[in-house]
Amino acid sequence: MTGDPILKLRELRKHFTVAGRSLKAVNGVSLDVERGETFGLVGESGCGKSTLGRLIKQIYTPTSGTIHFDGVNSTDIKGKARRIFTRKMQMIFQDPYSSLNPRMTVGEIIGEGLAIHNMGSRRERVEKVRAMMERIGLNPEYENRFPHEFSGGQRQRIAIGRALVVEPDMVVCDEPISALDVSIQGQIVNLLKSLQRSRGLTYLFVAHDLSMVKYISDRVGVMYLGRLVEVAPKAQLFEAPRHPYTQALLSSIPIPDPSEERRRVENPPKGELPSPFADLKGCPFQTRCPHVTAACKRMTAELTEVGPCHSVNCVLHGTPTA
Amino acid sequence: MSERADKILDVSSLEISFSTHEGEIHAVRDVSFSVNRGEVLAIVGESGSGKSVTAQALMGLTPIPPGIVKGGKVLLDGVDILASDEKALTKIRGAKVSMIFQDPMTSLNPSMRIGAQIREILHQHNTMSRAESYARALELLHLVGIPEPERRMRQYPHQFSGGMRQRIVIAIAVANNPELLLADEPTTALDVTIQSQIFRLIRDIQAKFSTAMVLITHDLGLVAGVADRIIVMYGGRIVEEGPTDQIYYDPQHPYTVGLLNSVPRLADDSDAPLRTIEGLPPVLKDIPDGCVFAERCPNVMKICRQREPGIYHPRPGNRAACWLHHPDAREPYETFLKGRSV
Repeated sequence: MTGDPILKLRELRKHFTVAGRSLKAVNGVSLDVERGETFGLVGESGCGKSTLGRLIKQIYTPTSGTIHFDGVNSTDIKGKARRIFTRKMQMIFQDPYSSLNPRMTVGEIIGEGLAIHNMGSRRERVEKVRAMMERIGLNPEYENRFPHEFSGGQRQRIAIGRALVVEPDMVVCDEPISALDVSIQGQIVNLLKSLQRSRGLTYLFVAHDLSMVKYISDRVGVMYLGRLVEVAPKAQLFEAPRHPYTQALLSSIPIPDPSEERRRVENPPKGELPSPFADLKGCPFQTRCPHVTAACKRMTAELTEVGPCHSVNCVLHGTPTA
Repeated sequence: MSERADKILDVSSLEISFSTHEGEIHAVRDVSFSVNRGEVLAIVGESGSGKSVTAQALMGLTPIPPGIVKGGKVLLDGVDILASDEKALTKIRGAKVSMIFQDPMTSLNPSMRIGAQIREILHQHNTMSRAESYARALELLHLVGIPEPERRMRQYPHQFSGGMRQRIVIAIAVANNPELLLADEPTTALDVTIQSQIFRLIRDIQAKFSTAMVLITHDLGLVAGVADRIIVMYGGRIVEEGPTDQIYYDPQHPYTVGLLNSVPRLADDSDAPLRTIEGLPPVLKDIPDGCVFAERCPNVMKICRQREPGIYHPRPGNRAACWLHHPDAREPYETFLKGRSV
């Protein structure tokens, strides 16, 4: 990878202990996210994509591995450096109903970060909040209203305003549109894109809606059972997926076009997701993969390059075995 | 067979309101449609469009109060559901018509074994020995693709994955060979790979028994390959109805166009902003004069804000509630057709 990564993850792991057993939510993820790009992270429920987003934002502490944000190891920062990190790395959550404090007005919600980070005088902060409301498509006259007075899409706009008003470099968007209606989803995605352009933001866009991920992302990573199984620029990933799981996942997407949809050949992964507690050695997809061999049990977690910026974790494509 | 008898479901002028502390919400207004035997009808709409309230009414499940059925008829095989008492409805539900709900976590009884839940519906509607119902339950689990049905029959819902639970819900729904199957967002709670498997199962079962089906969804992508006919609802009304291909390739209502444009296509590599529908869905409390979509419509005309549009039939088998189809609106209609291309 060339360029200027703003975020570097190395061998990142997060294991939760549930009833005495270890659940490996994120199990050895290494990834570089370039400054100014949108990296889409897809996968089905339980694959660890949200946990990875939360590790990056430091909501969770990793079990092992490192996260470098802007050249600083963000897993081990305190005091001022920590405050700078929390300002520069922001997050937008899935549910705009539970992510906004119902007792605070919109003005207070958007302005809180400015106050915490001592950005400007009181008067300047009020101005900044109003300007931000304007930018995200809310009437600044509504600054004294409470979240319940807004629709889901408008609340998500408030959440975006709160995240962006403190001028972050990177935003983790954790399924920011899944709770919204179809006609509203497009509005929010358009807003996120235009804000990214005008502010040079880096996005980590976590989602399960693959067509939206393809639309918004520059590169896409596919997760399965805590591992990144494939990373590629979106065009390559969607046109020439290499990993058997990516192929199965893409074949499952319904197409909003009757004649194409009737022709679509489905190839869903056979069987069910193994228990997240299962201690699988080697490839996480071995229990469902149509191409499984003995070597899969010994495969390492390494991503193997198969083309320009395109890497896969699969023995079929040359991932080494231990 | 006469044309009347071909209709398994005939809904006419359905009006449902909900009384809330903020006033009366007009959830469903003047909704009429029918479903032929063996046909798959999809009802597409966003939250608040009235699609789920309509589905509830088809089963006689409107919660009263706060719901008020203000008028209309729901004829299921000639029997008016809205005029039937609970005793009569109990006989119909699960036998003539059954429903697949969105959330398989809440539609199964967590404290009953799977086998018992399937056999309960069999015994309720048939005179059957225990051995017969056991054999039929096994057959149903096999039909919906649950491996090792003998062992799985003795398990409880929590021992199944979400996809497997939805398969069980489907087994229960089809247990008594219903003539009409209602599915309200049957795969929304599931992952994409599971979603496609469940959808394929529903499709196979529908085709195998040529059961008529009403499929409620917000996802136009999901129904493209399954539905024979599509109804688009907005603000409690049917704004367009037509054969599936016509709805996708030749939509006749600006809202249908907006809905189709809001979804990025996987095959599309364009980076241009999504063509969304601006504004917010209506609050069904104070219904404005005129068309319910006028506020957000890119093709809005003066009359749209004054009078509610009539129903027009611009294409075979299609109806659209839109002023653009009025003979005097030829020019705006041409503009609409030109601006429609995705």
